[in-house]
Amino acid sequence: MSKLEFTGNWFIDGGILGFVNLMEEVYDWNLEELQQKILKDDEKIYYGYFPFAYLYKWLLEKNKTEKSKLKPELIQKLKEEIENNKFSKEELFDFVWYNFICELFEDFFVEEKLKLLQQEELYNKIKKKFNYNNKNDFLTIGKLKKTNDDLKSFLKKEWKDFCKKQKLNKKNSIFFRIPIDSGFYKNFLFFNTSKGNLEQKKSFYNLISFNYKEEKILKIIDKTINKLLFSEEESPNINYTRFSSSILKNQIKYLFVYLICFKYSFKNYKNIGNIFFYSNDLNFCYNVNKKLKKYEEKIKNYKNENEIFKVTLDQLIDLIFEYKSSWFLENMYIISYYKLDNKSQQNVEYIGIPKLQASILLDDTLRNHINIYIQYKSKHFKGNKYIWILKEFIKGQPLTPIFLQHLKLVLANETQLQFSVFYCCLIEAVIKKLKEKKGIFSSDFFTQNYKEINKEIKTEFRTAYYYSTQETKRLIKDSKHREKIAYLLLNSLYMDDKSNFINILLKEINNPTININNGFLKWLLENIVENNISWKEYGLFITAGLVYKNV
Amino acid sequence: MSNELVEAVWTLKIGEKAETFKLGKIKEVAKKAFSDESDSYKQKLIFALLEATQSKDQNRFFYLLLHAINKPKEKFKELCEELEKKYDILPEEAFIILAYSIIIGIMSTYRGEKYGERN
Repeated sequence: MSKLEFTGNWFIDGGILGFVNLMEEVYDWNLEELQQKILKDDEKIYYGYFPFAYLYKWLLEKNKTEKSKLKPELIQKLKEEIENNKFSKEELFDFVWYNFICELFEDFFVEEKLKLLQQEELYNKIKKKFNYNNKNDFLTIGKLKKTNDDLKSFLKKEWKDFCKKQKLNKKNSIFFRIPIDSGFYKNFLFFNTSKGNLEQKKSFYNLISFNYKEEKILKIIDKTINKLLFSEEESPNINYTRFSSSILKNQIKYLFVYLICFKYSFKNYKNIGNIFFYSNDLNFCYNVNKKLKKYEEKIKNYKNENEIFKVTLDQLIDLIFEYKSSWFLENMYIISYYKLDNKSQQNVEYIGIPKLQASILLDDTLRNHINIYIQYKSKHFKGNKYIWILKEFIKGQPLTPIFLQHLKLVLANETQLQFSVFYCCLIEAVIKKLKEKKGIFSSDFFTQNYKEINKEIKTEFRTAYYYSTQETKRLIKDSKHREKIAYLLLNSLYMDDKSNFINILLKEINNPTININNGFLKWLLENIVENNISWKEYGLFITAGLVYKNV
Repeated sequence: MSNELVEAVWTLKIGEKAETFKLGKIKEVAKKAFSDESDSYKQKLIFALLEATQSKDQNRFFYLLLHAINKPKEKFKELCEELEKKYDILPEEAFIILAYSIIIGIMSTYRGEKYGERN
C-alpha cells in the first residue's frame, strides 16, 4: 500500500482530505504520522481505526459535544488493543465493531429507544416495527414502561449482553440496530433504517473493502454518494455515472472510505457556510485547511461575515511564500456550500483563481489595494451596503460598475472616497486591455510575462494619479466647481458617452491663461479619445481625482 | 502601457477600396498649423468646435475648421493636405476621434502664462 496521494479529481481528493481530518480529530495524528502508519499496516487503519473514528465523529456531531465528554477512554483503549494484538482484517473489524463501536453507542441506543417508548402512539407502532418475537421480553418492556429508570437499566443490560454474546439472529438484529442516520447520505448502506445491526456491520465492511459484488450500490458513483454529483437516472451520459466503479478499484483501493468522508473536508463557518480550499497537492491542501482551523476562533469574533476571506487570503499568501511558488495560488479552488443534503443544494460555489488575477494578488501593494470594502449602496438600502472588492476580483466580475456607484455616493457626501479605488481602476483597465487580445494561444500567451503587469500598473499609476489630481486641481481651482464637473463627468460615464465626457472636460480646461501640460493632453488623447476598450476606467480615474480631497 | 506609440487607426471600406487613416498624426499637424495664432482666438475657436462635436454635427465642425484655415499661409498647407485625404462623411466614431484629435492638437499650442506669474 502506498501512501495517501491526491488523484486530481476534486471530489475524491476532498474525501481524502476529509479522511485525514477525521483521523486527526479522533486520534490526534497529523498527516505525516498517518502516512507512516498507512505505509506500515494499512489494514489496521482502514479496518480497525477508521470505522470507529467515523461513527465516533458522527456521534460527536449528533450530540454537539466535545471529544473530552464522549468516552475519551475508549479511544486510548482501542489504540492499545489494536497495537498489541494480531488479527486478520475480518477479525479486526468484528472486534472493533462489537467491543468498541457497540459500547460507544450504548447510551445513545438507550436514549433513542426511550424516546420511542415515551410516546404512547409510538409504543404500539414498535410492536409492529420491531419483529421482536420473544413475547416474554416484550411483555417485560411493557411492564417496565411505567418506570423510566428501570427501563433504562433493562435496555442497558440488554445492550451489554448483546455486546458480550456477539451473536444475533436475523430477527433481533433490527432491535439492536445502531441508531444512525444521515441527511447527507440518506439511505446509503448502513444509514438505512431498515437495516439491522448485522446488516449494518456487513455493509460497512463491504464498503471498506470495496466489495461491489455484494453491495450493488458501490458499483456506481453518483448522487447517492456525493450530492454535488449527478444522479445516474437523470444524466446517464455524464461521466462517473453509468460506468462501473470497479475500474477504479485497482487504483484506489479504499475509494468509498474517502468518498464517505467528503463532508469532513469542509469546515463550517458561521453565516458563510462550509468552505474547503482545494489544491492539487495533499500536503499543501492539508496545511492550508489546518491553518484556517487555527484561525477559526479569530474569525468567529468578527462581525462581518466576509472577513473570513480577508484573513484566509493572508494565510494563503504566507503559505505560498513558504512554498515559494505561485503555482499553488493559480491552481487553488475555493469550494463552498451553505446547505447540502438530499433535497437541497444551497449556494454551492466553485471559485478558481485565474492565472492573471493570481499574479496580481501575489504583489503585496496591489493586493492591499484590492483587499478593501467599499460602500456601493446608499444608506437607505436594506441589506449589505458594502462589497468586498477582492472577492469580486477573484470571481472575475467587472469592478467598474461598483466604483461608479461608489463615486456617486461620494458626490452625495455619503461616504469617503478610498484611495485604493485609483489602483483598482487601473488594474481593471489593464485586465480589459489584456482580455481584448484575442485567441488563447496567441503569441502573447507565450511571451507575455504576467509578472511584468504589476510593474506596468505601478509605473502607469504615478503619471495617471498626478494628472488626475494635481493637474486637474491646477486647471480647475475652485473645489465646488470641481465637484460639479465631476458630477457631469460621472453622468456621461453612466451614459457610456465618451464624446460627452471628453467634451465637458475639454471645455473646462480650455483656458489659455493657464499653461496646460502637454503631457496631460497627450495622455487624454491616448487613454480616452483613442481608447475604445478601457476609456471608462481612465475616465473614472479622472473623475475620482477631481473629488479626491487628500491631495 | 507599452512604449510603442499608440495611434488610432480607422479603416474605411468603399467597395473594394480600403483606406486607412492614421488619426494620431492629425494632432501633430493641427498643432503645427495653429502654433502662431493668438490664445484668445484659439479659445473661441475651440469652444465653437467643441459645441459642434458635442452635437455630433460634422457639417458645422468642418465649416468652422475650414473657415479658420482658409488663409493662403504656408503653415496651413499641411493641415489642408491632411484634411484632403481624410475629409469625407465619416462614421460617427471616427469623426469624434478625428475631431478631438484636432481640438487637443490646437489646445496644446496655448502659450499661457508662466507658472507663478498669475493665479
